[in-house]
Amino acid sequence: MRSWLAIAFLLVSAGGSSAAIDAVNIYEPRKFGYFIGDILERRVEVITSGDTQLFTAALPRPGPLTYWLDLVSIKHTEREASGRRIYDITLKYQIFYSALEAKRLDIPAFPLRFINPGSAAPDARAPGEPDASSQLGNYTASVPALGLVISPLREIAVDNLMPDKTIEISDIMRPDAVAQEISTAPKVQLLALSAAVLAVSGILLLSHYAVWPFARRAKRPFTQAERQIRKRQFAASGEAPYGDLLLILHRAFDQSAGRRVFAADVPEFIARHERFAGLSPKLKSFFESSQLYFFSGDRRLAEDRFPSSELTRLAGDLAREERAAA
Amino acid sequence: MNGPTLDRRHADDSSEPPLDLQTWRSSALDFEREIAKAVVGQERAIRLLTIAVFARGHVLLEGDVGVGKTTLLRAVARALGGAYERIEGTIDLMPSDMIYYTFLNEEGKPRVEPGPALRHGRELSVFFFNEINRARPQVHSLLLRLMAERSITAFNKEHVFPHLLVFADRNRIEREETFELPAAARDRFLMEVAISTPTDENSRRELLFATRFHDVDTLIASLADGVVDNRRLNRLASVIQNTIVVSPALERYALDLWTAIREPASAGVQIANVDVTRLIAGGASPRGMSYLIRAARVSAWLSGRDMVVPEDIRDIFHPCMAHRIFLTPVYELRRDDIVRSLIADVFAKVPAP
Repeated sequence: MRSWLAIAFLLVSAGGSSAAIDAVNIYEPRKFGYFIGDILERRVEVITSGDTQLFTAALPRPGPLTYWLDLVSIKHTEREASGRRIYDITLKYQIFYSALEAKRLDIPAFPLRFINPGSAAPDARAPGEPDASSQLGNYTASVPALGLVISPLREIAVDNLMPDKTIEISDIMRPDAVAQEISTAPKVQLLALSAAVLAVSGILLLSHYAVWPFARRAKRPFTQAERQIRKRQFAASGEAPYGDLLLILHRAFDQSAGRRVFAADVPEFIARHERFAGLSPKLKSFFESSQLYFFSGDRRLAEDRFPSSELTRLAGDLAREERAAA
Repeated sequence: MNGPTLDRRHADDSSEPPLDLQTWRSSALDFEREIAKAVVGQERAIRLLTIAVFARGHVLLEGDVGVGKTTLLRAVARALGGAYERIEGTIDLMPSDMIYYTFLNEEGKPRVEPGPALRHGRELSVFFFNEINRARPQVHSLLLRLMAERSITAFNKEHVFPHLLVFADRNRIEREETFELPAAARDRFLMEVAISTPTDENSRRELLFATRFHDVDTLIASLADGVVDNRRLNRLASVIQNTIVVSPALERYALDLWTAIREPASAGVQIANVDVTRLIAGGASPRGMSYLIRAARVSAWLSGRDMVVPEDIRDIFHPCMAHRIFLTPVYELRRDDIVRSLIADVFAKVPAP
């Protein structure tokens, strides 16, 4: 469909200089069948050799060219092939002519400027200065005008000009194309996925804060301590090391209070956990003998004052009170 | 290894007749009661000062203006007996002002006389430095030696003060024209005791309306002079240190505390809005920890025990250690709160025994 037109300028330098514009090939689109809004593309291929280069800064700039035509874009690339320099220029035009009848209009021609077309730089002469430099072997090339036939979109039916018209505009106008239905399936899937992520995060959050379904049973340090002490004594057949037993019970106190409990803290501990108030004298003697055991080195005295059996009984009492309160 | 244990319990190898710790304890309690006559509502501060006196440690008092810091120190000095000297920290005070002063006598001849630090010679028992942060760093460094070695060199001679205790105070309201004490000087104080206004109704009422509190000089003069014999305190202190037992379990506990203070993250310490891994810049010096154990032994002795228990350490940890913990600069402005929570959490987390 796209016809191409090659205009070859075989330009031989008069002075035999190696610099030359070898060819300007123009690939044109079709020349007819255009409507308002159409975009057409022209491709220009410029081949130079030697020192000659296309002066790309002088190519037309995108923007309105005439009242009916815009140059939408112009792109150019440069490549080397077999010692020649090849410029590919792509010009994109858009037509804004609202034709009442089929009409031919011309895309204006534009010149191409070169650096060292012969041996002189293009800025060596003022633009528009005629042939002052022609003796220097200065050649030029240009992209010629392109004539286009632009057609109206529909039949023109003007009431006063065509009194005997037989068709209405509505008969001519065609309905708009039915809108294409956009598929919502991906969005629905994404929504479902998000909902699933939200649910999982919610569950994780509940578990993090230990809210209802994940609320664990209140810890019972004394119950666990009692179990541990009994296990130890059973394993050691009643002769478990006294210090270990003390430590187990100490850790239970610490866990129950949320901090380290020393002998001096016993009144405060009882004030906070009133259910142990009845055991207060026993707690006191437990802490006293623990002090003796750990800090005075008088271990025998500690064990005499508060023997293992007493300690086991105290752990049992504490555990019982703990369970009773829970 | 470190500190006496059971086997060194009776290691009193001095030629003097052995001191009776029980008698001494009751006179220490007398000492406390005597001070309490002049200073009401400061039982805790008095107890801490008593511990410092019997641990032979220097004390820095810190607090608002007019809460009785000076009165308290004067009362302690009075009850302690011995020679007492005080000096006011000012911005133009130079180290030489503490050692000598010069004047023209009545015959017009220049005279050089020993200054406050030297005037009493060996007998100086309390050197009271008022508003210490108003003095320059030069003065602080002289004090550093006076505190650490209980000696100064002056007039080509070394002067030794075997019974000396340095008490200093500073108010924490103003910062203008003051010099922050260098860390090395602060580290030499056994304790930094914070003095606050008494909170209980009776103490406040008494302070306001009892006429004996209106004239401080009369009040101090009404106290018994020299309730304890300050020249025997050094020996008593060493007997206390050699008698009160620190068990291996307690040694373990103190070491754990030390680690926890220096590396709070490893002990699982958590403080709101603080990254504990970056909290501590340094501090908690070995000297500080040994002071702590020294004070803990005295505290146990005052409580009538022959062994140190974790409560003793917990009780005095803040005054002994808070000023030795150095935070990274970003947390330094919130120091008071952070150090308090740090110490509280360390004691809540480190198991004892």
